[in-house]
Amino acid sequence: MSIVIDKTKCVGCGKCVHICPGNVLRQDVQKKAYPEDPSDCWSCVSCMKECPVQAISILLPMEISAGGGRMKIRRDGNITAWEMEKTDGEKIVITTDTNEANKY
Amino acid sequence: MEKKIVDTDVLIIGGGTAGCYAGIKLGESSDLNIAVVDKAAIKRSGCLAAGVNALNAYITEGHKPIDYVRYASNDANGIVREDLLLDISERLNHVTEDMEKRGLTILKDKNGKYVSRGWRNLKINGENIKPILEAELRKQKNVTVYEHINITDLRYDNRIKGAYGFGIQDGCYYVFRAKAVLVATGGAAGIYRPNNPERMAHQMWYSPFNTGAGYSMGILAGAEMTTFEMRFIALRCKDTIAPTGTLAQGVGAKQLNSEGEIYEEKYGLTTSQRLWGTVVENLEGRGPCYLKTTGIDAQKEKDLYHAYLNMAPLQTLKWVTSKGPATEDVEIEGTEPYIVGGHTASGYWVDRERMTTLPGLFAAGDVAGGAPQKYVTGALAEGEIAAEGILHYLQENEYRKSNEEHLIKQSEEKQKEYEKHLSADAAEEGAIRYEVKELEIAMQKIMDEYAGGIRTNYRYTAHGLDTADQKIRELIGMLDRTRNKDTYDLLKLYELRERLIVSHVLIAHLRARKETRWHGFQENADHPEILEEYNCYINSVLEEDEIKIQKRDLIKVENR
Repeated sequence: MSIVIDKTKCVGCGKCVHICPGNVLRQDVQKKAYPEDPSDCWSCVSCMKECPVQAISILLPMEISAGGGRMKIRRDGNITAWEMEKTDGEKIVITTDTNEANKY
Repeated sequence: MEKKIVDTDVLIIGGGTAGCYAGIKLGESSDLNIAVVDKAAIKRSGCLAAGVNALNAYITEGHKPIDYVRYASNDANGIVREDLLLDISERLNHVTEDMEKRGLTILKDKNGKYVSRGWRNLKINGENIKPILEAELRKQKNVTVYEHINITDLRYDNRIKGAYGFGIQDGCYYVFRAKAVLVATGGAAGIYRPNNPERMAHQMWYSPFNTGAGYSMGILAGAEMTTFEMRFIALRCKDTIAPTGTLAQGVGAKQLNSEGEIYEEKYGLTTSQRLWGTVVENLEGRGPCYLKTTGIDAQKEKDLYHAYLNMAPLQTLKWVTSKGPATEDVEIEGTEPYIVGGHTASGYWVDRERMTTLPGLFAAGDVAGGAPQKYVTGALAEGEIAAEGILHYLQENEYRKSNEEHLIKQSEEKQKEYEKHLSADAAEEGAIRYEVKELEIAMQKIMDEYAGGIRTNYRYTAHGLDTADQKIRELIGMLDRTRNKDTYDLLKLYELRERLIVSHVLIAHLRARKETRWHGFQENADHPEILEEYNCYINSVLEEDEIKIQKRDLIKVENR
């Protein structure tokens, strides 16, 4: 599990619940999304790509990298801005375009 | 449970690469009613949820389809269905061009030709490959998509006539009645203890939601399966379990041990040899092992960040927040064993039209056996072949009258089974009950320790398999002792059942191949050599609760 849902930002649209390939997310009585069992998450970030208000971020798990880090996604059509942040606060943004092929 | 009946001509179970493409092709070429059902949302379901950044099966200029057959056969040490591979190979380029027309980005040079990586790989941006397939499928007027419905069993009398399942979100019981069925549910992950612990257990390469549903429903209905013992163990980036092909083939990174020696040539370059070499280097005290990426220039590193975001974004996040591949070699490890017919030859025994041994049931993609290294384009090709096979089957076989009494009884029993699991708590107060997760962890521990998992460096013995077999049978018996409060829990229960049934059959296959055909993939400690007498397929059928093993002769094709 590495996704974190900010309940104060979540608008309860249910898009992440619909898109999750593992049926991991559900909605509480206020329609806010939450993972029923966090260990079921695959870190595929499909939910982050669907969320209209950037309420979901991914926290780099300690088991993967002890330095930590965080990522958010802003998506607009073909363009995805991957907003990455180091634990010291430094931010790195990489933008990808589905119209541009991988070079390797 | 409220019962819902859906009548259709063709039922496609699984809206992944093969299932979607078969649906598109049937939609475009017929007036039949097609139902595509998926346990999640097809826009991101299956193993390509996060995307894919290369097409690993394509025939470049100067090569022929037979070259691909020979490559895949060599990689699998001869245990492949060359006829099935040839059918796929002949369509690889056509499905690639078709996907480009439908919106897939493929790298081209100034002259408009595809840029290849080696002689059989193309570079793409496949982050949106599932959204493209979904959009194309939804354009078909005669296709209806059913999402968040989990199919568990086939509906059959003397032939396959649909399937049974339940709505995960709506809680309904579903009966799909069809004249032909395509199963395209993917392979099986999560049967062995995975690389990462506990809360990160699903940080794996293959989709943890591909739980062997298609294998399981076929096995239970009596379908013949092939080559389960050829497990797929991927060599992956340590901890993230992200793919390594982009580094090895794209950047040319070699396998390096901790003494600074490039070791891959010592063991050979087939898929299993690359893995096995890494296992041996570690065993002999020269680990950890790496892909040598240090020294690549800044532009290459930047391009790698992009490539991984479009397929395994956690890898880029790790690089960007700590050290990138230009300054630190990428550590590699073997994954837990998966059963996946898109990479190895495990799956349904099919004919050239992709019909299984059960009349009316077709298989394509990772569930279909005999044709390894099919990858994404091979799954597309197989979806197309199965679509044509289904049309042919429906023309040849006028819809025969069903044994209605039998089918009604079958349906009633299935509904009762679901309802019994859902009401288990209330029915027996104070009875011993376990969580599905506990059984799942127990299964993974058994398979890891006794059936050649990571813990034993993938080695197994006949004695160990006997123990595994006994314990897996016990766990299957415990499925009725689980606690399930709603249809989300029911989904987990049936995913576990699928994995247990796959494990059960896998153990029988591992035991039956009394040699070591593929180091690592099938490492039989009792029989460490290759034996001529096992130049054959190991097939199996479940008959009256026992797995019957049958050897079958290899099917070859002539050079052309």
